[in-house]
Amino acid sequence: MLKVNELNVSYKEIRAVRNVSLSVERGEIVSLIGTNGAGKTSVLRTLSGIIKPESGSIIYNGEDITGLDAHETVKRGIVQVPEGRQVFSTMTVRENLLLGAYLVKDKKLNKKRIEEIENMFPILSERKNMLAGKLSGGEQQMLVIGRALMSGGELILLDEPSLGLAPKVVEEIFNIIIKLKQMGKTILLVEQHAQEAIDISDKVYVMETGEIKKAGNATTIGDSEDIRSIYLGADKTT
Amino acid sequence: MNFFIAEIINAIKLGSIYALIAIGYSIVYSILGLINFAHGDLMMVAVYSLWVLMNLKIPFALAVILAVIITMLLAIITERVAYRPLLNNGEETLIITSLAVSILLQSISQAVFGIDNKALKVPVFFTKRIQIADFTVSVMNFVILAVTIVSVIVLAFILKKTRIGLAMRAIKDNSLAADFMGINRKAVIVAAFGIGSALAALAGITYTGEYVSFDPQMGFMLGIKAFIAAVIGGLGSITGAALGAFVLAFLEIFFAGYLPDSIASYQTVFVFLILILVLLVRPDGLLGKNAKRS
Repeated sequence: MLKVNELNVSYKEIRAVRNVSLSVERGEIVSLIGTNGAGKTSVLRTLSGIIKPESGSIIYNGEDITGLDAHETVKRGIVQVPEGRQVFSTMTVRENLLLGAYLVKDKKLNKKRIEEIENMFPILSERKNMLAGKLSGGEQQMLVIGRALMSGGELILLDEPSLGLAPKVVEEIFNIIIKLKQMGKTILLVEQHAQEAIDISDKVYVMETGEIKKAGNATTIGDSEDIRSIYLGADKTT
Repeated sequence: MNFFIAEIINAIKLGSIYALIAIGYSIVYSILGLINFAHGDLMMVAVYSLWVLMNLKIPFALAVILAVIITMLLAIITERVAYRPLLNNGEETLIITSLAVSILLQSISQAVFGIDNKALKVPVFFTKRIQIADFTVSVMNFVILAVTIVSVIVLAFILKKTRIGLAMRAIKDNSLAADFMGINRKAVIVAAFGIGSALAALAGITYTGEYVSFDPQMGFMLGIKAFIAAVIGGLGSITGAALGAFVLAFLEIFFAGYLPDSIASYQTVFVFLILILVLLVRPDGLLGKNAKRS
């Protein structure tokens, strides 16, 4: 479904992503784990067209989408749930959902999707007229996942969905990710909670200082001793 | 007492015109962080366009519509040619560019039409005076107020109920998230310039309809004052821009009306003084972020 070849991205004159290649098959959960500043977010933002790569290619459903703007990638079905949630805090919950469907002009379809999403997250229905900025962190995370679903996108790029949330809420978020997979969505997940991410993933890539250091299926990566050492290193640098 | 009421009427009139201009400033600012110093000159463009069209014997109503459209087109062209290529070069670059656009527009109009004052003769209907109690008020006064009220209602409708309005509010709220939604920021910027310049055109036309005389520099000082109104109200906030416009107009008119003539001629100095005082107390303006937090 998604194939990334030899991607190089510089951000503010620093090479943030070096020769990254990865692939995501339809229906999979693929995790990208690694320390802070390893370049994971840069990879996701390049995929959705917010930043432009220096070299390399991104192939989505057989089409070369390298360097396309975000409104073009969203149209093709790639949708990002950004780090730090990024709700529209001065707008209502309902307006936030509608913005997720900004490129979907079929009103009936939008209505149907709002119903589905509110069934999935009843809290969003209860609070539909509340300003999104007033929601709790966990509720905001549900809102931005719902917002992404509104686009009808098939490939969901989840950037640190558990960041800053209480452990109980983190668990809930991981259950939601599994539910997304059951709904037929394909997920590329960036996470600091490496163990939980590995547990639900079909495939894992480990990134360090802009490069993919290790790749494999969840069991091989999960058992690997290197992963531990990377995370111990992370504690010193962060 | 009569003088007092006459001053109130004047202040509402001036406030309405400032509001139209200030709201345009705020819309463009909230979408792309550009303080567009050429915004005021768009009023001048609208008035000259109207004057030319009227000299071509085009009926007044049609001429007004065409003048507004010409102004919008010009604003959209300046966005395309002057601002878009510099969009990622920081606010300072954009501000300097907007000053250059302002000077360019004034110079072109001087070169084509000359530096002298001209007079805009609106149909007599607008200059008719209506008797209300002890007062006579020109129809134009009501037109100015009506144009402002209708513009604000239309704008509120666009922002609340239309897709492009939703996109504008989303960009103002969180431009990064708006990108993630697939909102094409360039298209929304064009819309912001279109709406802002239409408001400026209406302001220029109603202002000149009332005060008759115009010249190539007419937009600059008016634009600066409306900009100050927008800053007083809280730059980026539309309600703030309207509030700032009326606050400024009332203070300005009453300052000029009630103080001795020797001081009253410093009306413009007073405007800047108000700005400094407001910013000392509320750096983000009356309805700016500070106000929201407290």
